[in-house]
Amino acid sequence: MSNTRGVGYIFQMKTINIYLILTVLLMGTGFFQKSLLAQSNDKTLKYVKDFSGEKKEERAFIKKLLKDENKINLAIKNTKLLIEKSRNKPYLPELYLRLADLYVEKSRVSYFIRKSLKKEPLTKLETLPSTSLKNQAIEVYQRILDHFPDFEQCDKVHFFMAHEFKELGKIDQMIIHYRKIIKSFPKSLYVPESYLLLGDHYFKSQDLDMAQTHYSEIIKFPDSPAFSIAQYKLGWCHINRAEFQKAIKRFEIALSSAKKHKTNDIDTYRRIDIRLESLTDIAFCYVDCYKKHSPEKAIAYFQSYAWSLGSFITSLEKLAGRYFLKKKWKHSIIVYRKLSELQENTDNLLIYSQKIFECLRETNEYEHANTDVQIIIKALEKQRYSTHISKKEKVKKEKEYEIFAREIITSLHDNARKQNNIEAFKQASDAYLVYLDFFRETDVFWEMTANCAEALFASENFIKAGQHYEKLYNNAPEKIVNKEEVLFSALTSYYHALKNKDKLNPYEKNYCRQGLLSNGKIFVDKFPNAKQIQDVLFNMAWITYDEGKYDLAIEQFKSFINTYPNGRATRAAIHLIMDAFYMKEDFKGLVIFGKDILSNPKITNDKLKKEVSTIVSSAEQKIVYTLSLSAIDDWEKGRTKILSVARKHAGSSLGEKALQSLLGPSLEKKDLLTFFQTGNNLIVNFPNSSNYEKTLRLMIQTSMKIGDYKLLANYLELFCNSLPKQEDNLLFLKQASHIYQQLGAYKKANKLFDQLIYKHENLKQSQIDYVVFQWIDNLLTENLIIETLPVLKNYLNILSEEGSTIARAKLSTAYFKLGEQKNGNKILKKMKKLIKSTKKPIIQDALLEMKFYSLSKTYSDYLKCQMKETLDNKLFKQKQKQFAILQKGYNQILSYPSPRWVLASCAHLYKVYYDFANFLRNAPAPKMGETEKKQYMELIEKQAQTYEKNALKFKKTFLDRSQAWSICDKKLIPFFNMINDKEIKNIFYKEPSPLLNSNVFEPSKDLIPLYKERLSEPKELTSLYELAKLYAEKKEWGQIFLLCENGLEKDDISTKDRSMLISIQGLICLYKNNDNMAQTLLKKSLEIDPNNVVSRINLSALLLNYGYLSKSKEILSKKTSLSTKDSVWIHPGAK
Amino acid sequence: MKRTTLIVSILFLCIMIQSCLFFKPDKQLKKEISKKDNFSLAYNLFSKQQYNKALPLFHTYLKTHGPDDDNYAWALFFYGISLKENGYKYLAFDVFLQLIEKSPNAKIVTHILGLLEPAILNAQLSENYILYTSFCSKNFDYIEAPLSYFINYQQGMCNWKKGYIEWGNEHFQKIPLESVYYTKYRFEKARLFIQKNENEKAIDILENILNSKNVSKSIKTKSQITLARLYYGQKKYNQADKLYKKIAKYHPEQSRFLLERAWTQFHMGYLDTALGLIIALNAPEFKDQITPEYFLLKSLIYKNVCNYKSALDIVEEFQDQYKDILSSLKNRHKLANHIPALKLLSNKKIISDQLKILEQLEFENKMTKTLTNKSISKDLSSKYQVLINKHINLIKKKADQAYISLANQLFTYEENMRLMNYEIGLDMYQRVKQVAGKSKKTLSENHYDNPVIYSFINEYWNDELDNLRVSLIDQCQTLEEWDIFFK
Repeated sequence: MSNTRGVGYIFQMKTINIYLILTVLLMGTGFFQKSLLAQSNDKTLKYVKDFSGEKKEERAFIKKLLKDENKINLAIKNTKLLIEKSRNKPYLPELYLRLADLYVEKSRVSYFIRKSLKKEPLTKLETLPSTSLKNQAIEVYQRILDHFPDFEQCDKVHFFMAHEFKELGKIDQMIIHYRKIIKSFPKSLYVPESYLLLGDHYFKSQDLDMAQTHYSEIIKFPDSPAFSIAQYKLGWCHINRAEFQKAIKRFEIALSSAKKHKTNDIDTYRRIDIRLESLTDIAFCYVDCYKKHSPEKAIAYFQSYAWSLGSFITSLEKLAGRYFLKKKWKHSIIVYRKLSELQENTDNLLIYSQKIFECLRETNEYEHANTDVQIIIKALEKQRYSTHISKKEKVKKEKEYEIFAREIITSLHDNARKQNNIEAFKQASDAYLVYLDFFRETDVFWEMTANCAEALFASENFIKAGQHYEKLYNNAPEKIVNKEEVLFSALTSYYHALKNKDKLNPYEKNYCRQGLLSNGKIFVDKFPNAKQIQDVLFNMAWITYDEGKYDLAIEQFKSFINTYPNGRATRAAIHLIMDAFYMKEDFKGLVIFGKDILSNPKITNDKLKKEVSTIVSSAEQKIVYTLSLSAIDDWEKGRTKILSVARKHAGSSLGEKALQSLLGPSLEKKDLLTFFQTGNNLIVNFPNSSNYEKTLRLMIQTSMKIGDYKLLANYLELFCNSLPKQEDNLLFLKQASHIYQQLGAYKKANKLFDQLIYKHENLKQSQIDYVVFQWIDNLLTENLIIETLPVLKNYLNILSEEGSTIARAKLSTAYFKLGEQKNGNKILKKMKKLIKSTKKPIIQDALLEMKFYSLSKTYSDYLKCQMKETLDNKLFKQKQKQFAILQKGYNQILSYPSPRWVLASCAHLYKVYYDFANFLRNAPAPKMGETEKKQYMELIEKQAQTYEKNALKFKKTFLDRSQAWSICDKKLIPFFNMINDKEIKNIFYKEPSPLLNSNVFEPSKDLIPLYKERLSEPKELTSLYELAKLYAEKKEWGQIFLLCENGLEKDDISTKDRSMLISIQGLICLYKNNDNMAQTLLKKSLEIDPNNVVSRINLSALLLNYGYLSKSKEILSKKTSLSTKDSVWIHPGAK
Repeated sequence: MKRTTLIVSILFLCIMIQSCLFFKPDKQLKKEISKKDNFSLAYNLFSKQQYNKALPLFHTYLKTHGPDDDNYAWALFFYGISLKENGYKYLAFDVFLQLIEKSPNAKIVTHILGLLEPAILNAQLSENYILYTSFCSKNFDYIEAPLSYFINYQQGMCNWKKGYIEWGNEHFQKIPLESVYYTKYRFEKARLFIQKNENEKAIDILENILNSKNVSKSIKTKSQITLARLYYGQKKYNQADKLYKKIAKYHPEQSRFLLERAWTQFHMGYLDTALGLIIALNAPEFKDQITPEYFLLKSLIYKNVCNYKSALDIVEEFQDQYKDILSSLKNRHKLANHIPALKLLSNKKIISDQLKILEQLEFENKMTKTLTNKSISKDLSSKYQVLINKHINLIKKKADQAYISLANQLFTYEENMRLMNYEIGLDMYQRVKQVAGKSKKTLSENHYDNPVIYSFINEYWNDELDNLRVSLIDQCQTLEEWDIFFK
């Protein structure tokens, strides 16, 4: 028998019942006595009170019902009495209503008394009193309606009547009264309730349309407490029609409206949490409604509608159950997983685990199943540490769920193996770890540990893999695992972990290193014949290296290499040793080791040796680099160190590198002696070095910079000789020959000319001509006429046309000079015409020289041809003939504009005429008388005088021409002396410096300070002048000349300096017997700077020496003053 | 209606008077108790507060009856109370939690929650104690204030911890401002902001807590510590220092705060005070609480005033102190055999808290042996063993994690100290270079003001710790004997 009553009914019942029940309760529990005890604030008594109160409630309830029954009887009696006395009173209908209520209440009490006493369901007979009381109540209600149709609470009367009819099973009557309310009292509070109860009736009767119609009417009363219930009920109508989406909408509205109408006065739904019901019923529909929604979406949906963790869990439980029921395993599993996160109740967790397992079995898909093992373990752990579950139960459940967990893990592992995917192995290993942490005493513990280790390794969790393999080695029974294999696996795991050591923290690094080392030792001891022993030994050494214990690592690797000179890890071992040395910055050690490897015959890997060689070389470079760095701070100390290394490693590449490293800094520090010594050392001792050319170039460059041309020429020559194929070879040859030329080392110059000519194909024509004639000049300067012959003959063909002409002339001249008249004339004959036709002075000069010397023999014979004691006609005729030849010959020369050969011819003509005059005078008279003799002598004298006159004419011509041309040429001096009374002395010539020593490759120590200055201030001329002065002291004229030449190459020098440098070059030419060039240069100097005192004095002196007095005076006419610093450049003769 | 009410009221008063004058014990009840079953006997004794006698009887009853029995839930509750009153605290609360989980009896649950609240509030039980039970998802809407504040706070925290912030907030909103749980919630909210890296919001809350009246001492201290650390993180050293100074002198983690304050002073440039605070850590009571950080900071302070010898000494001291433990760690000693590490770990709060519980469990387990009733003795002992195993397992897991963390920390510190050693060397060299060109200052010019407040006498009083300053001479402008080697 339910107790479904409406709002008003309840309210009215309350007014009576509360007092009654409270009174009975207070009496029954001994409240007043216990309240005194409660003051003692003793909690225990409070508990006791609550307990006893609860127990007494039951007994008191029957007692109370009995009392209530009496009271109700009394109340009915009194009410009846009151009704009787209240006829026509306005409150009469109210009293009837009270009476009806009392009948209803009595009916309820009567029912409960019987039920409480019997404690079993009542028979129809037993419920009869209760039923009759209800009928009595109905009658009273009907009386009210019949007699008091205008009673203001008629709607209530109908409502209560309907309820009682329902209780009595008179549904039609019930419907009539509810409809009456709806129809007659549309504004009554009972209208939505009536619709609701009618709707419930039709719903129960499966008349969904009617039910829905009635429930729908309630929607018009949104403020009614029945609103949310109606929505909920409508939802169920939709469910019954399989309209899940509509149902969900209704439940959603019910949810939100139920929140608003939290209190519900309808008894039927008082104990029902509509919100929770709606939420869980949504879960019921959701699965059918949103078939395509992902479980994650579903979870989010329920989270959005849940209002607490509890409601969320309840709804998800329903959802997961529905998914499970609908065989949506994948969905179900995800919801159960979520539930496992939220739930802390052990029993529920175990249920979820089982459901998850069943889903997994169905799907056979184990993605994320590692989480499921965690769920199982979480539940089992809660169970294991629960004090409320029996040990037997725990053991049973653990056994049962261990099988679940194991099956999941095994499947996970199998899947991972199939996929061969790191992520899959990671899931499997995670599951294994959770399993092993919990199931420590299962029979399969070691098998699972082995599998776990394998999965960990495959998932690249190497540290944990190593730990598990170690555990297997140390603790697993021999029957289950192969000890050698697992120990090696542990080592491999740690090795792999350390390969990415950047990802490890300090603890992990240490763990792996020590794991590898300690287990490595065990492995080597226990399994010395294992095939992996080589790898183990290598890795142990590697780990020592990795720890930074380089010395120990080197020893271990060396031992490894000795054992396995051609092992697969030998290359790595060698590299690591070298790396260790490198890390220690022990480059010497590295080099020594590397060389040992290179010389180790057992190591046959050539490629490796090549690598080692490269590294050794690099190490050597490092050594010297370090030394160089230290030398920068302390040069002396550093230099000594490097030299010491170079000495120690003389001949080796390290020695070479040491020396190489000294070059730069020594130049930087301007330690020229060290620089040249080092450079020379390198050049001499390492001719095959790749740095040879570089070094040589540096030496060349530096020699040039400092202005030591002797060194420069030597280095240039060395370069040319040692690097004949180098690009710059030709240029260097030219430069070297030029320098030698200037230094007066003609033989050296000629040697290089020879080389140049050998490479004539690479020379320009003008260069070929220049080289050949320079060579010839050099030979002639040294009076090596005979040596000119092959040069001229051999290279005649490669000379230019002009050069060839000159060469032939010179060849002819040489023949004449050597007395080979025949050869000379042979050429002369062919070139006679050319003498007349050529206009080029240079060719003309050569041809005239040839012509001049072609007369040499005749001239010489002529001078020798003198009468003796007797007159010899034949001799006279011979002399006369010779005279004629000479006269003709020299006169021919005079017709050409070649000053040198004109003057020479004049001088010879003067001599020829003069000699003939004397010849005549000195010729013995024929045998005749005195008079005749006297006449004869007078006649002879007359004739002699004529010759003498002619002679003087040539002398005058000579003097006139020479004064006009002012030629200062050493080659002309014999002719001057022939003419002049006063002999021209060779006052300008200076002793040249000793011959160049081609083995000297060091600068003079006394010149080094100046050389340093030259290096520091290459643009400054002060140091150039100073150096030139020092060279002058050493009579190294060539050096001065080249130094000045270098100075003149600069673009930005002043006119004064330019003039001075040329002037000095002029002076040098004086010293070198090249008056002609001296004159040209001095003149040029004065053209540039007419105030150049040095040039004026020197030129004036030169001219004076040749007897050009007026010109000499003219030059000196301008008043000048000579500075002290320049006085050194005045020729001593000029002073 | 009014008349009816009047009549009923008169009737009610009469009944009341009658009840007071003529009350007699309920015969029916007495009759039932007279059955003298175990429950009744136990209940009788229990109601007389004879818990030791009631305990075995409840125990027997519970063994022979199932949850379907009418009295079962109450018996279990009384049994729990009896356990508690007999000193079996942990087992008692274990029973209570079982009841929360399974009993639908609102009265019993209310009583249990009423017992849990003070136990947690007074730290007899950990806050986490109920978080991993079904307490979190239970509906306790029927619990009335002020106990409901406790429920809402705990359930709010549960929700937060599981990531359901809004649901948690709904619980917290039901706590009135004047409740102690409101402040606790505010503090937790500040922590939540810190976790989300919203430090300014956290600072606002913590400052607000500290400015509020009637804040419990523990929350105040926690707020001070958290705020001090936040200020420190923001380099507001002055504000941090003021708070560190306020933190209770007898805080169990005083050594930690001394060190933190020392860091603050160090950053403020008060090296003498910083050193004083560090030296205070040598007090016997902190003997086991010195951390590697102590050596690092001490060395750093000496280095900063160019007192290199002392700085190097500290580096050596660190190496001496941790030589053995580092060596064992390097050799991968297992924690179980590693006594020095175990000692260090036992000082970690995360472990020490668990150890205290374990100790209490052992103690309570021992008490079970004194019970004359062998059945209950055996049963309780086996239950204690379950709880002990649970905690051992928990401690083992935490210790294993802490051991790794400790090892990692020590290795890192070892490296830092090595770096410190190197930096000292570097500083020594660089200083010589700098000083060489400068005129030497007199010692007095470099001396800190008021160099010694308390002389070092190997003894400390908590009151003094804050003020301890040590004479520190800035030697950065002077050359020492060893400097000659660098010249």
